[in-house]
Amino acid sequence: MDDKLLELVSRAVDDDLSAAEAEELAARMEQDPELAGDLEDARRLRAAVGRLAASMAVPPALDSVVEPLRRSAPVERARVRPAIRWFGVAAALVLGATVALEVARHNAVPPPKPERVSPVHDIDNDEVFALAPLPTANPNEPRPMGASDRLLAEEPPEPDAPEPMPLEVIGPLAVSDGRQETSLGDSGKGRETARTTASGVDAAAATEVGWREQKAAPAAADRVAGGSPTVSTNESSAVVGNRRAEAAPMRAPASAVETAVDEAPAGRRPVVVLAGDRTVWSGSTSACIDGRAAAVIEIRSGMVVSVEGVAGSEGVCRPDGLVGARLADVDDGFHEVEIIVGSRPRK
Amino acid sequence: MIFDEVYERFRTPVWRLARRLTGNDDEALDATQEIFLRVWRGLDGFRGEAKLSTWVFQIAWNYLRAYRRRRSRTLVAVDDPTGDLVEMAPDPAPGPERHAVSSDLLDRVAAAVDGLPEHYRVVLWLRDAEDLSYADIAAVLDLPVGTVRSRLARARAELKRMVGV
Repeated sequence: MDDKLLELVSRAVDDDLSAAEAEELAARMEQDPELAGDLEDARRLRAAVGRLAASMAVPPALDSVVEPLRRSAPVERARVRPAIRWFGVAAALVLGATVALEVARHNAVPPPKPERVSPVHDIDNDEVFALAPLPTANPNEPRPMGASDRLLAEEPPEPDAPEPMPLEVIGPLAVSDGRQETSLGDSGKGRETARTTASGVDAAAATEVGWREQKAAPAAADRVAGGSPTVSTNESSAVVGNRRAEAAPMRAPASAVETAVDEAPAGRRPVVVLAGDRTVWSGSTSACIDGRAAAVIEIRSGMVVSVEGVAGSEGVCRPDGLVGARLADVDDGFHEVEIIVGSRPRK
Repeated sequence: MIFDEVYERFRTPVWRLARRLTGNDDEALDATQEIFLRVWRGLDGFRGEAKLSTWVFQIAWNYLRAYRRRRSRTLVAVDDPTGDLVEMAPDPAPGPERHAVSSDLLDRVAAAVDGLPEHYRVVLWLRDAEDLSYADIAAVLDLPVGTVRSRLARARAELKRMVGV
């Protein structure tokens, strides 16, 4: 029996044949009488299987093992679970909406910018616009002046004058052969400057030392400007650099002193103190009258501590600043000096 | 759908199928319990798109097929070191039907059914014992209807040969 005929017989058992298939099967059964017996056997077997199934009793143990499932009625679960499910969905929706609102609030889209509208020009369409050439198009044409060009065209400003280097006054007043000379220690430049002053150049402007002292001690500078022959008094202790230098008495030679004596400040008289033929101090006073007077000065530690008139004199002039002035290269003790107030005749 | 109703309606068909496919009462009992546990779990998800019978038999068939595969692997590992598949022999002990109907024909039919290859046995049983339609059998086994027809025809021919009628 081929597969097709076998299937026809099987389907005939189940009454699954169409009319055409039933006719075909009937025709074949007429040709093959055993085929009808096969169909009958198939029907009996099918019934036997049915009876076999009906004879199979469920063991009582099955009910006992399934009983727990029967007691936990799924109806309750059916009632509860959808509620929980819907509650979860609602909570998720609320949460999502909240998050979306927060995100939208933080990322608020700025209002749209007004659309830029190009200005409408009344232009003749036939008008031809020629572009101006670029500044570099023609190298012969002058370039327009720009800020950089103006800066380059300006004359550079004069550099500031360098500030003079400070010079230290460390040496004592040098005296040689009775000729008055300013000693600046080992500074050859200062010595050179002092000699220049001695040759007749303006003492106040010529010496860098004098310039320095002018800045350091205005009072002394005033005296210098007013014709004071020296600036090396106690008042003119120069401040050079950051330290206070114990300025040695600095005196110009007699010629310079004589020139400067006539230039005391207004209302004051120039004063010089001579020890022999050399000037050991100079200044100005408003208390003394012009003239010459012999005096005795007492020097201790190089500083004038007293000024006394000599015996027989009518009095003594004590110009401001003499007492307390340091007179270098003058030994301590009593010395006879001549105090000259006012101008002296030039030698 | 209430589980109790489902159980009352399908307890015997499921048991019978399990008995025919497992070959013995104990395994059939365990298998039936597992099948109804799955029915109980999935009952909420049943929306009635398919017939209830189709749905229950699908669960039963899927479980029994997997169960037989697991047992086949165990048998191969223990009894067949060569790795060849061993066709499970039916339980030689007479089934419950023996006690209900004392019939030589039924005994031979039972033995022949249990001796059928599984893919023939399940089709024959669902059709001749449980009276499912071709379409329902096709849905349960996830097969085309034509395949169900052809398999059923071969199963019946084999059963006839085995029974000797």
